[in-house]
Amino acid sequence: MVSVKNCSSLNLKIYSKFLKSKKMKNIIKIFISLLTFSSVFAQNAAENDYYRIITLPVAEGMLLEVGGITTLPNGDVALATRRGDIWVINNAYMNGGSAPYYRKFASGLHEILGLIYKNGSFYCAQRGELTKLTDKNGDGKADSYETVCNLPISGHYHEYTFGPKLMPDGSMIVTGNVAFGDEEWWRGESRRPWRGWAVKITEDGKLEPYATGMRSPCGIGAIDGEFWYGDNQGDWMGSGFIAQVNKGDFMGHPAGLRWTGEPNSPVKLTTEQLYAKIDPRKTKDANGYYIKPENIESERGKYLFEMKKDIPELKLPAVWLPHGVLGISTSEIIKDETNGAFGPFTGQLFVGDEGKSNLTRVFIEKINGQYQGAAFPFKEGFQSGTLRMVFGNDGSMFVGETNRGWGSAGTTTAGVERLVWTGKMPFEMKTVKATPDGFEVEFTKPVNKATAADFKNYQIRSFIYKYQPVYGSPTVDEKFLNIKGLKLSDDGLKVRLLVDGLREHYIHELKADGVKDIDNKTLLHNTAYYTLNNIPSGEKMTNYTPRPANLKVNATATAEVKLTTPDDVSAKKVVAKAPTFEEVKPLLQKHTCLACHQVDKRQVGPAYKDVAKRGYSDAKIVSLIYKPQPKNWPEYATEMAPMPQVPQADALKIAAWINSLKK
Amino acid sequence: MTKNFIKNLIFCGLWASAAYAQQTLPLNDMSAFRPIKENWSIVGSVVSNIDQLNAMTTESGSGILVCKNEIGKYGIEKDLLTLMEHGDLDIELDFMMAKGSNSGIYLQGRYEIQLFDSWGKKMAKYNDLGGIYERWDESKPEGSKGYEGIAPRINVAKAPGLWQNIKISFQAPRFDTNGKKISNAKILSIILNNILIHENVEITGPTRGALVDNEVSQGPLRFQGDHGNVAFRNIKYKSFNQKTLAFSDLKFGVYKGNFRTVADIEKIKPETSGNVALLNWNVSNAENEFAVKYVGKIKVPVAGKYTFTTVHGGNSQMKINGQEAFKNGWLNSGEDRQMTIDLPAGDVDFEMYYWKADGWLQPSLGLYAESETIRKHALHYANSALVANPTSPILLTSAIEPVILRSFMDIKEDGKAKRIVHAVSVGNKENIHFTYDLDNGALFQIWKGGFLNTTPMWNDRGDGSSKPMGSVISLSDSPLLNVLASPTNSWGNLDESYRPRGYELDENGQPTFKYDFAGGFISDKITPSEDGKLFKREIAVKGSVTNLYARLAVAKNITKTPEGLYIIGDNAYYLKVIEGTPSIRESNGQKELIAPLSEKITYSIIF
Repeated sequence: MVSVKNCSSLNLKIYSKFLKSKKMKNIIKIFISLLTFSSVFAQNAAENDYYRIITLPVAEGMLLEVGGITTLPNGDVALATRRGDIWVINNAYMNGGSAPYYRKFASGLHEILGLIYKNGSFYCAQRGELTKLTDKNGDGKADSYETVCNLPISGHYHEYTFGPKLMPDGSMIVTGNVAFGDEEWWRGESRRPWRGWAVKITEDGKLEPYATGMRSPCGIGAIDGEFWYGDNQGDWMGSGFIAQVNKGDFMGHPAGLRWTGEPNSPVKLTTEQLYAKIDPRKTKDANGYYIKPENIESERGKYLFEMKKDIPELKLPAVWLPHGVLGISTSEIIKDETNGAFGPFTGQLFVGDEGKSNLTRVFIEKINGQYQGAAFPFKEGFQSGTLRMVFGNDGSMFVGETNRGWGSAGTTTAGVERLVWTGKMPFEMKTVKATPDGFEVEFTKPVNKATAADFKNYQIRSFIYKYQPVYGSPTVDEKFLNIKGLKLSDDGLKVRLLVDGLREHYIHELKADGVKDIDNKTLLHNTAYYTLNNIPSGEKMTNYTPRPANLKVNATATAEVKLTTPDDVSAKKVVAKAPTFEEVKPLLQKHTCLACHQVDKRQVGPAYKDVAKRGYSDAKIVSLIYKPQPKNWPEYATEMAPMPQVPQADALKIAAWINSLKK
Repeated sequence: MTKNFIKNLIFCGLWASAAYAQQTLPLNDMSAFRPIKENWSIVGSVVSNIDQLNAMTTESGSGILVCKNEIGKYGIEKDLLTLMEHGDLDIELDFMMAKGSNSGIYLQGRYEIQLFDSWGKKMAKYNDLGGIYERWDESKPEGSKGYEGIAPRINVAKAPGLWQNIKISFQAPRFDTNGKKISNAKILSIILNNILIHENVEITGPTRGALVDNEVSQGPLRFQGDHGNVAFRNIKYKSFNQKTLAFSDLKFGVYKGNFRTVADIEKIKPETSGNVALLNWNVSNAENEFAVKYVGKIKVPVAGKYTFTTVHGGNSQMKINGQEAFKNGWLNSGEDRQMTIDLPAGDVDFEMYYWKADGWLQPSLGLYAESETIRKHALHYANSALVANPTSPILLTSAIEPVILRSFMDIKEDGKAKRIVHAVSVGNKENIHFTYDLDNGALFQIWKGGFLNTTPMWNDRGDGSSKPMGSVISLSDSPLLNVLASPTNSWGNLDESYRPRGYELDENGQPTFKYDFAGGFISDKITPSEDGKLFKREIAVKGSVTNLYARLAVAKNITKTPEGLYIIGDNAYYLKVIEGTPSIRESNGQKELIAPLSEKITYSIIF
């Protein structure tokens, strides 16, 4: 029989929206699980006093879904886009107020996700190729589209290719996303050699496998001649992070291990060796179908650093970027080499984020030969996903943007913006450094000493993520640490904290709420996330101010509540009267809900008003917070991640408030 | 959600009726036709010529209906009429035009679908191939006598002497009992060389040159025979009466709640109920968590086998004539299911439940019936089966310069789906386009019409692929070049000496593809002719490679015409070698046209 069904199934490949079968769901799955961020840091207005976003005008009909951005020696900025074009922007700085001019240098390339300029040619990664583009006849347009290196690819939608990044020896590093399984649509797999890898390619096209364990390596950077990479939450990836990568490193995702038996593979670890140490949870149900692994709250699981003793090739993140807090989909990594033209953060790193449409600032230091450091919220409010950044020759930062079907906090599809320092000094934690017995915070401005010496103004919490085949991980093993002593520097620029209970490899969240500068201004961003891979040796602190004996440790933990089962209809009664937005707002912020949801507007996820229209019970909403059902919202590209860490009482309040939005 | 279903229904639904056999118009002799003059005959093969006006030579045999008529010798008596008379009709056939020739298929002898040698025309008019010919009013002043001719959406005409295919779906005019016309004749669709060129077009009356200047329920099929040489074969049709199935005394009840089975629904009482003429989910006055139950009779015009197709978002269950027709089953919006059942004539019992519990699904409900003689028709209000809005497509058209785009490209190879991952498509203002596989140096498809539909790649996340928007001729995706130690060795894959080098653009923006192979440096350039009738391909090698061969074509049949053209496949396209010494060889049951490549081979693909 000929039926319409047969025909439509052909189109299913293309149109991801209405897929019923699990097999097809890999299409509606994920590159990132967008969830969140915290409006705790939502201080756009305040940020704007120090860093302003200038949106470049773009002609109607010109869609700049930016996948690559670079500068030319003359300061012009060039963009590479998903539509396959390379644009050179003259007058990108709009000096004198006149508009930039966009010259189309090349076109027809396959969803470009990187761009550099080298010796008069552009180099960009297309889906299946590293390509060199040259204007030989001088008309401002490429006439040579040269294949530098043809890259194997199967044609799966998720097989994006990123780069290149230029290395000091003139070679270029390109990274490749994994595909996903057919039945196991949640499991990243490498269908062709070097998917899930970084590869190094010479000018004459020689390919050398470099490192693997990557899942969605959109985050790339060349920092001081070294290759850096960032990934985001996903299977085997608890949270986003950045890491410096050397040849032969294994970054944690098993897919690329399929090719480690190849003679030129610098990684020797096999899939079997890894799976002998950690269960990939390839289990089947009674009908013989694979079961999607989910987080098991009651199981401690394993942490990535614990694998290191068995797997020496494993490279740990230099700095975790806590999922939902700082970002959800790590992108470009660049270093501030503006010598102050961009503000007080020279030498630090900036990391973009497609879903959160923000920038994170990272201070790195090397302890025992390993990178680690602190990540700080820096700037949000970009119009679209911040995928690629480059510093212009005046020290301002150009940000190439797109959300290309994944949704982003910035509501525009695509564009290019410029971030300019206003010249005013923001009051920020400039650096956080590890010390043998705690941390030392350096501020950008001298502090009000009374506030900086007050123990009540600090809180340190440490936590970590599980290493598991599950999509992401909740934050686990949380501890609030006792700050036993502190010492201010005479110039008021530094405070050193003596901290009890430091744990190596854990993320240490340092809040300095209440610390003010000499002008009595609070910190622009009051939180830092320090990944403590190593506690340095050295001198311990002396002559510090001890913590007052009767002062309790700050711990904004949430009170335990008696758990009711989500299906318990009586759960409704717990909240007699629906809370107001003002009442739930702190909860929505704290649990990073507002990163993806707004009250009456679609963002990454549906508006709360639209959730209310579904007519779920409060208990059902609570259960959906813990175990979201993305299939209920096929119009939304990005899955909500399970949020088991939201306490039941908070979830119920949020649910009651959502339902109060019903008209 | 489900944005593309309407599109699917349109594109797939046309010929997606149940598999009732088509009838074949026998072409063993002329017995299927009214007596006719000698210009029409049955032959075994025909050969035409792309350069010579009205050329068509034949060999005796059967299976092909051919008309031989000198251009300029007109007369309606030269037209061929079938004995078969038809009202509603689906017809499909192959035809071949001689150069400069003109013919037509007159539905009911009255409504002409134009056949014409429109090869290479940029803008097709109503009087080009596939046009619905104009009507004519002698009383109007000169210059405005002709009216309401409808041009095809695009011109996909092939060269003279190539077999072309047309599928026409026609709905006859309807008359009341007094013989007064109550609805116009309608072209439901025409698909020419696999491209939809008309859809749902009403024809207000007979077109110019109608057999009789009136409109009727039944009339013969008529092939025009007085404007030049033309051939037909594989004429297949389905003829429908105008009967339909209809409900009588159809009652509905609406239930509110979250149901899994009919038993759940029957536990409660309907909130509202009433009578309706056709199925409509909207009587529920709810978007979700409802059920509608229909009970009534279906009037079956004649006893026989009937096929029912249902589309819905959510669950349905249906009984006809006391038998379970559709079990409880869940469908996504836009999906369908189908069953066939024997029914007696007269009123039979009908019962259907439709319910929905998934908030994200768009409600929809449709039911279609058809039989061997009854065309597929809806038993629901049209809007009840519509779901959401189709995606606005992202189309890439070729303007002044060639448009080049890399994407994944899906093809069929030996009946299997294959995704070509290093594909480059080139669109030309001449409206002929091609896709090249950088992994094989293979020109694997050419087409005429629109350039690319890039929606699959650029809408939402996309899947990295695009699709041609025209009438495609699939060529081989195998490597163009091989080193053959002996010219009888079979064609193989490329070895590791193959290395793609990309492409360079000339001053007109035309790409030349480059690669290294077997120690040689290969360049491969494919350019359209200005008249949009052919591609010229120039393959050159630098460096010395011994025993290097190019395979220009592979097909079941390759024949050489007296004029030196190669006819490839079942008259699918012509190949003309300008520079090179090709030979036809037989290999693995296929014909191959191969030529040694020492410096340069140049050839054209004419289609």
